[in-house]
Amino acid sequence: MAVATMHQPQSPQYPAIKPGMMGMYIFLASEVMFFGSLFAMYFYLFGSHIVWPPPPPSSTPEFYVSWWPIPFVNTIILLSSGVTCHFASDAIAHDNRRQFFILQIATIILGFGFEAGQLYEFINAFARGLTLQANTFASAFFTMTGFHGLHVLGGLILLILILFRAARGQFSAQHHVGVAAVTLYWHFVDVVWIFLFGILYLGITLFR
Amino acid sequence: MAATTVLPRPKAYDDTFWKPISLWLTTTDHKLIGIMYMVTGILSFLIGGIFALIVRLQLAAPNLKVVDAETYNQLISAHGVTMIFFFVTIFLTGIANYMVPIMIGARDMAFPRVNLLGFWLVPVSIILYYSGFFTGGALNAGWTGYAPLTEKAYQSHSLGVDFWALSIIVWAISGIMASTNFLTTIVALRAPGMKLTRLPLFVWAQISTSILLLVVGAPLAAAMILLEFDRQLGTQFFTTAGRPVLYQHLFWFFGHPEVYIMILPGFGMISEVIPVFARKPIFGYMSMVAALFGIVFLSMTVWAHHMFTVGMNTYVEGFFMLMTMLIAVPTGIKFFNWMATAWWGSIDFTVPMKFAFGFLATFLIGGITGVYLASVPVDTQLHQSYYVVAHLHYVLFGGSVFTIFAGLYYWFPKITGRLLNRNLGEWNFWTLFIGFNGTFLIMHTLGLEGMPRRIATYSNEAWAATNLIITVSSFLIAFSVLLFIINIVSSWRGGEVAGDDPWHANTLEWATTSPPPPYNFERVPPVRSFMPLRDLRESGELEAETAAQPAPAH
Repeated sequence: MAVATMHQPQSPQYPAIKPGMMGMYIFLASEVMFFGSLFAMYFYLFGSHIVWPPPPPSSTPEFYVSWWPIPFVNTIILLSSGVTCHFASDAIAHDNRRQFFILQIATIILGFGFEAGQLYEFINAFARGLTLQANTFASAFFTMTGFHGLHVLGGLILLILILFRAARGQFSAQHHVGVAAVTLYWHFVDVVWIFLFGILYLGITLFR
Repeated sequence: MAATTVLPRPKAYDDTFWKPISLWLTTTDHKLIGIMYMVTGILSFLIGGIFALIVRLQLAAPNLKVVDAETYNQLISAHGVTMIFFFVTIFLTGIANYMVPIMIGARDMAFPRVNLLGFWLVPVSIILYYSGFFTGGALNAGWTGYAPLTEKAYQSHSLGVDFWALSIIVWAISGIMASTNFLTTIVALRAPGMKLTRLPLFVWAQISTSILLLVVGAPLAAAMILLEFDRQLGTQFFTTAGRPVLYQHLFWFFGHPEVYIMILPGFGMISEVIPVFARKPIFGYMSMVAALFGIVFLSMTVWAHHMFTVGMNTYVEGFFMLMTMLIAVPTGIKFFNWMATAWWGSIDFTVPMKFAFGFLATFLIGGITGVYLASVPVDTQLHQSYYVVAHLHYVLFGGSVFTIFAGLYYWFPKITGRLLNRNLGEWNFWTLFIGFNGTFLIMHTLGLEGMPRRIATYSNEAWAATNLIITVSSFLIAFSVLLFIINIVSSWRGGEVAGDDPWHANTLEWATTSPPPPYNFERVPPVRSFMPLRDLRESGELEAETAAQPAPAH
């Protein structure tokens, strides 16, 4: 009997995917549907208006938010934060804590930079009369970019939380589901921004 | 494994209902959370039922004035919202919360604290909705709350619409949490041997329900957020300056799959109940699973059949009509499989089995009228009539509520350790079956005669007798529910002790004690097919397996 227990077959790693990671993937599916419905709403409005976006008031010809310069710079900032975030998660997976902290802090700074740029653009737009009430395009524009901005803010809170947990030594090469899941979320937020930038900024200013 | 060594039972645990309130408030045990979900659901059922009874009193005779038109509108809206959001969905989430981890041999859900948060958002949502009644009038535009009727321009006098929208947003977040939790639990925490092809059909039903709620919960929240922006921030999404029909698209993209969110777990429960009491394995396990996913896919491609009268393109209407009629195929597969399961079985007519057969009979009528209503020309005629009310109650009451009763009579012994009283159960079934058909069967004729729905009163004397019959029958339903509540309370206090496996059932939850210990299983029994308990019973290992579980306190 003792001999038999010594030759227990090695059971495979089970489950293959960690529940925390799995949960984040599944949660992101509902996030995809949330932004998907906002995009569906946008294209419904786009398809049901003869002129899109509705013509701006003649007094302010530069009414809508242009893709250049701040939104474009913001795109670069957010995408590079995705890169730093990815390598931060990679670093903790190899127990390289110093590199993790540098990259994680860089991600957080870039994220706040993006938020600052968005805020600046919003304030400028409000100043020239482009508000939520202006027309259907403006309603959709602020709702979609605003909800994306809120998701970036949520991501920043999570990233800071991860930073503090890492400082307390709660992550290692074996246990870093939290880092991996937040990284995944941050990548999702990046991808949503690419669609927003392409459709709401490039779509109505550059490619018209 | 040697089946002869009967292990001594470990230390007994506390299985009393009267636990300290602090435990109920803070527990992350999926069973206690499941019970709280179910109790919340049943309380909502009673409240929604009272709303319905007042509505029926108002309609009992022509030109009655039991309530005024404004109150009537608030009552029918509250009846719909309560029954759909706070009763059926919540109750089914509860029963799945209780049963799914045990059925797959897990100790708890994957994220117990998310489970706790997800549950406690439900009372928040319910309180938010009913706050409308105390702040100048609740939602009065029907449970669908069509814009622009719910916009500021037409609803500036009260906060009812705002409370409703916020309540539904909270509800959707809670539902997304629960769905994420269910899917992760089922994928990641199955017991050894519990392959996907061996999952009980109720668990498969919960997978498909969770996928649906996960996909359509967010669009619902988005619709409500946009409506709330319209009302509070002055945006122009669904106002008359915007696109009101867009609201209907977003809402029904949730609203139609919601119908399946409310019936698929019911299908799962019926798929558990019928094989157990017919003493036969389920007929066509794989086709049952395939049909579930067929329904999941098709249900997301049919939403605009609720909107045939808004004036869409004819080809679009044709597409939605075709897809809607296609749903009859997977549903039909399930229906024939249930009948084939019962066919030539050694049927034991217990109360759950009666409710299962009652479900088959009433759901068939609901399904057939559904195919009628899917046809554009027919729907254009019947859309705003009582025919639609009759149809939706045949699928929701005859469908979901009968399955809920079947599931509750089936699993009550597992949850409480005591059987529900059989005599009261028989009375409950027959009064409900007669009352239900008396209420809704003749509503079809009322609809065909042209009585409009959602109107506070009517003056046509020709409809008086039918309406009186409906009102009397609806009180028979109320009487039946009263019997049910009496049965639950008295049986929970002093019913017949059930034992581990009173029904000689097939699935894992019957291998542990009734009620199960907080950790569910001392030792998870081996799983060799989708009917693990039946395998153990036939190989003579069941005695040893149940003896390994702890003894309950009483």
